[in-house]
Amino acid sequence: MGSSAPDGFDNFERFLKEWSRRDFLRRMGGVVAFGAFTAGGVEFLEACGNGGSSSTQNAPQGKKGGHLVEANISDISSLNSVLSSDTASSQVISMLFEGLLVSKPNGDLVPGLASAMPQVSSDGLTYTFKLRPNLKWSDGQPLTSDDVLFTFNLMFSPDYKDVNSPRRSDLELNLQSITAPDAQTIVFKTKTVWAPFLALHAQREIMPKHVLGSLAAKAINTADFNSAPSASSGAFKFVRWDKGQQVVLARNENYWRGQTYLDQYVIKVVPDQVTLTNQLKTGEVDFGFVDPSLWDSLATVDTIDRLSPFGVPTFTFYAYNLDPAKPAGKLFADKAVRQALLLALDRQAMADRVYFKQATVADSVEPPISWSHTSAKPSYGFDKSKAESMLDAAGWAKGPDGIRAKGGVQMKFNMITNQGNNQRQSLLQIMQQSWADIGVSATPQLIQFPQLVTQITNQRTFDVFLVGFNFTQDPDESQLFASTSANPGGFNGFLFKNPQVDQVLTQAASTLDQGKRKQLYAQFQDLMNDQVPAPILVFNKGLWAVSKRVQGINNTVFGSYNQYGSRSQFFKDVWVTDQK
Amino acid sequence: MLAKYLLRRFAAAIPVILGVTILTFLVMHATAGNYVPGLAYNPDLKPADIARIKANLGLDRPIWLQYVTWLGGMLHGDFGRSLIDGSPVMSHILERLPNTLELTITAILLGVLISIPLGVTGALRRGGKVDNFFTVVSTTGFAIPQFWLGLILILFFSVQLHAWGLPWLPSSGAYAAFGGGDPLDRLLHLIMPAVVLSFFYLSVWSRFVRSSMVEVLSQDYVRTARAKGMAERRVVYLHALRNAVVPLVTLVGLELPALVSGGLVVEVVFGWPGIGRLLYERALQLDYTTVMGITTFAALLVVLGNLVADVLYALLDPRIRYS
Repeated sequence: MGSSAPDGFDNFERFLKEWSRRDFLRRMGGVVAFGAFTAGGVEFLEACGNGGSSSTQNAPQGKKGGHLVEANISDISSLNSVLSSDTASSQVISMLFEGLLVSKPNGDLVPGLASAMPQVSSDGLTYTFKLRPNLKWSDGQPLTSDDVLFTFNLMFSPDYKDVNSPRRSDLELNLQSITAPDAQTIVFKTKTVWAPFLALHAQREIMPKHVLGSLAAKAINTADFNSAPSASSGAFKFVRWDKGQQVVLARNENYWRGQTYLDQYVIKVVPDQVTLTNQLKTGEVDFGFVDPSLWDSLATVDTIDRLSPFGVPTFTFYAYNLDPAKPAGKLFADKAVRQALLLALDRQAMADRVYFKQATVADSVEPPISWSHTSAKPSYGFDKSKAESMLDAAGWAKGPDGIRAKGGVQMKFNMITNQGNNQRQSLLQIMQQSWADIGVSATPQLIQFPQLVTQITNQRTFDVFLVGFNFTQDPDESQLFASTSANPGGFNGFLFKNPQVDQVLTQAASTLDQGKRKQLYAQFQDLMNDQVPAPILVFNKGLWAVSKRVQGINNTVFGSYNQYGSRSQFFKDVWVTDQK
Repeated sequence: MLAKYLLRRFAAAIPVILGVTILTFLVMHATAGNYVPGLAYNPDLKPADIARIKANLGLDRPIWLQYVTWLGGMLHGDFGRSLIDGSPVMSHILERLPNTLELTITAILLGVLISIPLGVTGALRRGGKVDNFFTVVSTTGFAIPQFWLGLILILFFSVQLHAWGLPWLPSSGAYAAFGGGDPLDRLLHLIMPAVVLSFFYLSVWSRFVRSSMVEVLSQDYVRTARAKGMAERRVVYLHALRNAVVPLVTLVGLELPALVSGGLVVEVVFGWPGIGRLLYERALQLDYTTVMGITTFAALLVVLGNLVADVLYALLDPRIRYS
């Protein structure tokens, strides 16, 4: 057979011919395809449920009507506040539900469903909350202390151990009892004075007992409610969730702060950051967060407002394995080595290049936006020659191959982070280069995220890991730096054990006196800056952009501590100028 | 006779499906480590909670027991529930299936409709400029990564056209987030992903039609047709093409399993809410049950497709007998 096709194709075509021997489908192929297409066509024609336009009603400032589309790169997983732990779900939950307290952008706690901040007994063990009068669920049922009790029991009562809540052990460890003496009152008793309680748990969104109360513990995990809540208490109520595509919310007429101007709110899932920014530009999306690398590209888009970048409790850090039983433990046991390595890093360059100037060099283990933050001592500006002289003084002399060694052990180690995170990969490359400059050989390694987690919490055979976490609102960092958290499963995978740090952290968590806590956390931050077991490289910034047609989303109402939670509070005043 | 044959074929397919599920299960486990799907790993997550949830989900049991439990459910037609959101895996699949079919079927139809004239023209003008041009196009289509082509299309047809104030195409999703969902809106969203996906198909298939056409055109009966004075157009389109596209139909038929999974990359790039993207996302999150559900579903389709194929094959060709 004569074919004039290029050689490469000849082989390929022969391969295809081999496959085509079975010509059964010569007639069927088209028919099946057409049949399936018409079947798909039903879906094709399915109309999108579109809320009817509401009557116009002029308010002093905003105008009623219209919708807003926010974009996120992750889909939600559960709309049950007791079960969820991811930020995508949390932000939607906080628009559907409210907690006893809510967080202001700066992290201040203010009353939400509670009518006032709780009364705390003089011994600091009893918190009494009063609910606002006449609270109602979106379906008209009254919201009472029974709902609050029910919600916390899902995470606390032994009857509900089978509920997959990631917050149970904290409550079990610290709470004595939860009671609801009357329909408006809820009382929490703690075992000992427990300072982080309000920040960690009082914002938990309340779930409706009249919907979930009849379910057995195991059934709560798989309840229809989790993906389609039939009652809500926040600014919006649930309309539908097209999985992988969008979540649609509508105005909750019963919201205690008042009705929203917006008819609908859509949270749309987009494949990545680039698409998200593109859709902000095209107007397909009204509101969303922006990757630092794309921030400048929005400056010239005249349909978009960029909110002023604000600090967020997200941080990126690396940790030295301090386990004396591991090879790396010998390299990093001397704190002078840890300090020298940190001094050798040009972290301003990291913030500039990796985060496109949208990050700040960390001067402490507490984020600058926290009330507890101090500029801790000593500080670690970029100082290569000091780093070198410190390593020399510590006995790590440069060998003939340029790599430092002490007692026959070379300063050589691996650094791990998770695959797929470009920022972290770039950071490791910069660290590799900076440390090579002072005679330290560090090799980056990329592993899958689940394995990274297992390395940090269980296996702990790494030399250095780099990862990012979110801080909670409370400055307590025992989960990362206390020696008890070094037990298997804990996040102190680098096995930092310092009795002084343990003591300060315990003291600070067991007093409600904020002035005293501030003092103790200042001490803690100085200790950590001296020990540097796990230096924080930079603190990230929250970068958000919003369409100019949207009014009421700005830096006054939206910021550091309510970008992913406590959102209902400001949506009452958000409106769109074109009412579309 | 046929029933017996079917039964035997079906029995032969069981090990294949079992193999697929075991392999998927082991691969997922090999990467999982101590990670519990669906939990956000942050320091405020306590070891005791991780352990309890792991036990609640049954992930602390021996691997073989987990597999057998899953298989037991499967034998009762229960695909299980997602480890991440607790909803039935089947509901996830069925919710995405129409979107995926919409995309893949459109792409395959486009591929067929374009590749035939392309291939025929190429064959008729063998070695000519048009043929060479088509060769370049199809080589390009075969070589260009789909994700790259997708991104370039988005950059031009969504972002750039919008910036120039011209009509533009939506860059992701299957329908507009608000007020969308009507046929026109869905069609606009379908254009770019379908074009990218069909570009690959038509690149391959047009080469195939071309070579097959070249072969057929040199056959005796074509020469006879020409000799008896039949119009060239009639010769080409009535006699030659008919025989030349038969293998193509087979080739397209072989793409049927890809109806479900074929558009993974395109679905990811365009945020298309289909099964491919579901598989991709859930695999990254180690949602074993969902991933296993999808692979089993796909494996079942492939096996079923082959079975139907074999039967049809015999029905169409009397020379084949089941023995």
